[in-house]
Amino acid sequence: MKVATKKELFDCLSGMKVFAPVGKNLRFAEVSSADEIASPESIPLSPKEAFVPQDETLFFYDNPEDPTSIVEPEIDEKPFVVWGMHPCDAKAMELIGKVYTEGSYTDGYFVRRYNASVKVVIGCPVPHPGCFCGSFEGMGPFSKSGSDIFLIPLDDERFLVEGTTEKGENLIASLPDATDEDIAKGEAQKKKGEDAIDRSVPTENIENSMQALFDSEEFWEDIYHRCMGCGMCTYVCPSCYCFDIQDERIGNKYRRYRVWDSCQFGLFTLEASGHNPRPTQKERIRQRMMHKLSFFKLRYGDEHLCVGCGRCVAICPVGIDIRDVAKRAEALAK
Amino acid sequence: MIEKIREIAKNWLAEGKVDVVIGFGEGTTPFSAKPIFITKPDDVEKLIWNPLCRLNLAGYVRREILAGRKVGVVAKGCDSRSIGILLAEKQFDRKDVSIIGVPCQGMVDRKTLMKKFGNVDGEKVSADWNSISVGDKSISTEEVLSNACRICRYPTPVHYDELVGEKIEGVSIEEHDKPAVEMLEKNREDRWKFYTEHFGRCIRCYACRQACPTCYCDECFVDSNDPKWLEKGQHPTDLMLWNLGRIYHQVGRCVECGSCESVCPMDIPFTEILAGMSKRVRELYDYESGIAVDEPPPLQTFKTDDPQEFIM
Ligand code: SF4
Ligand code: SF4
Ligand code: SF4
Ligand code: SF4
Ligand code: SF4
Repeated sequence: MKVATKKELFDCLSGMKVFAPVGKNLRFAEVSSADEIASPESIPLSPKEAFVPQDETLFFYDNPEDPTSIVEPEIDEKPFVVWGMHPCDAKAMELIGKVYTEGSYTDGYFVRRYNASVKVVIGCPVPHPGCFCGSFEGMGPFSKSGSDIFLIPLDDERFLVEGTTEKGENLIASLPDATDEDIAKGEAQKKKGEDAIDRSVPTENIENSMQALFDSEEFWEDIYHRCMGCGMCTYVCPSCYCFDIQDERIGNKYRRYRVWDSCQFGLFTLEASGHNPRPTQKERIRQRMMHKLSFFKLRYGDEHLCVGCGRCVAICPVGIDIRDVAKRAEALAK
Repeated sequence: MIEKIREIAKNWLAEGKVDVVIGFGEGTTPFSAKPIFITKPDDVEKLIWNPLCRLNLAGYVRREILAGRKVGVVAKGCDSRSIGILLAEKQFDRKDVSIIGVPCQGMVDRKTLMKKFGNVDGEKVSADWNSISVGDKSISTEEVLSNACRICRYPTPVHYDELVGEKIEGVSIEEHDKPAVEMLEKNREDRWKFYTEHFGRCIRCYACRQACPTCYCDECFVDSNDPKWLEKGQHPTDLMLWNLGRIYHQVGRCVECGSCESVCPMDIPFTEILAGMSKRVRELYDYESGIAVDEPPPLQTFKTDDPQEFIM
């Protein structure tokens, strides 16, 4: 176990691009010094854009009629750092990884980025209102899964630093060892977070409870009338991975790119015939809740797609609260 | 005040005058109020009225009426004006909606509030018209008022069936125009900088559009892909086009309720821009949105004797 200030740790990572929360809205962007990095507390937007950029070029082409004119974009495969992810975010990237790698197709864009990344994850001694990662089995505010370097904030200045993969360990090897006092302090911080985190959201059998309520007007009516159908909950969600594919003409070249999309938009399921299988917000918000708490687990086995980061809870302007949805579902199923 | 609101709502539901009353209820996170849809007279107890009842409810009114329901709504000044615009645009008839008008003392900006107080988990919070507090820390409500509410000309509903509480005077035209004048006095470069800086942060979640009662097109220009008016990505030009396009579609229709600004996750300030727009509309066309329900917004009508000097 090592100990470091923000700057000391930053120096260990020199030579690599570092993405961290910056600016007015704490979006993940490239930084050139430790001073630019915002405090790890609140991150309204998730770090997923470092792995799945909102706007990503798939390829360029000169002639729409000629497949041989396709040129792949240059992808930087050099290692880079994503600093200031939370344990929920690291988990979410693993889950997106499942979708993008399992089955017959592997998404090279995501995989190259994911493999090149060094994930610096910060534990949460003070979970936010809305956070409930501890409600999911095997997860919590100090879960190390998916990290390369794990930090525990000791005070305003220093972190306890642990390399959780070989890659991570090698990078921090030169840092000084933590004293027993530091380690004890880290344990106390950990206990603080573990004690505070909301574990009250039922998740164990929720996939089946939700399935049983799929057609229940009574259950969904509580939320769908007020859902505005914006994309905020999906855009801030670290584990939402849906995208749209578009073609753009630039001069006499073309670009095919993908952009984040959201199941909350009417256009998401609009078919070329004009038919829309999810015509209203009722089907759309139901899709989101079902995907997060039911479909994914039923499809991929053991985990839910929601990681309990609480971002959608905090940001939804009309108070749609996934914790509440789970609790109501469980209560009705009993 | 809230008792009176509940009483009217209860009577209307019991009499069958309305099928649903749209108002605000307690949210599940600190400092939040959420829109609620009351259909049973006994549920009116869930209605609340406090400075967190920020959003404009007129969009829901339209949606519910089109779904075939008789709608009642608890409306602030801005909600009532948006209903006025929707009436002027013939979206529904006045008889389809019953309005409980509540003069508004101004709503707070929740994002500013959260920044002021930081992480408030587990502490006791309260918000009333005088002060907002967390544990033993307290600030005045005035301090965290939304930008839009600071320059509100019509806090008292313009259209209503029942008015609950004393009328409240809005600000003068001069006061209203201040942020707009500041914006318009900037030179071109600075204004452009303002636009590029702020719109450049947009993540295109379209929450601003969804929160706006007068953004109700079946197909938004930004969603259309045949023709495709703009690209869907993050190029600054497209971000600019999207934001200016949305705003431009609100000329003479926006009531400056501030909902778009309040929901934007990227804190894009719309108040100055929208205030400037309404100032122009007032000066050019002698029109304030949502006041007269029988007068279409200026850009939706024409006069055969219009000299149209700017074209010649
Ligand atoms: S749940 Fe909230 S954030 Fe998500 S689409 Fe509905 S209104 Fe928007
Ligand atoms: S659904 Fe909400 S709480 Fe769950 S991971 Fe996504 S943003 Fe976080
Ligand atoms: S919740 Fe919606 S946007 Fe998110 S991954 Fe599922 S379908 Fe896609
Ligand atoms: S544009 Fe913004 S301020 Fe104007 S009516 Fe729409 S939501 Fe309200
Ligand atoms: S709410 Fe803000 S970020 Fe979202 S589309 Fe509107 S301006 Fe852009």
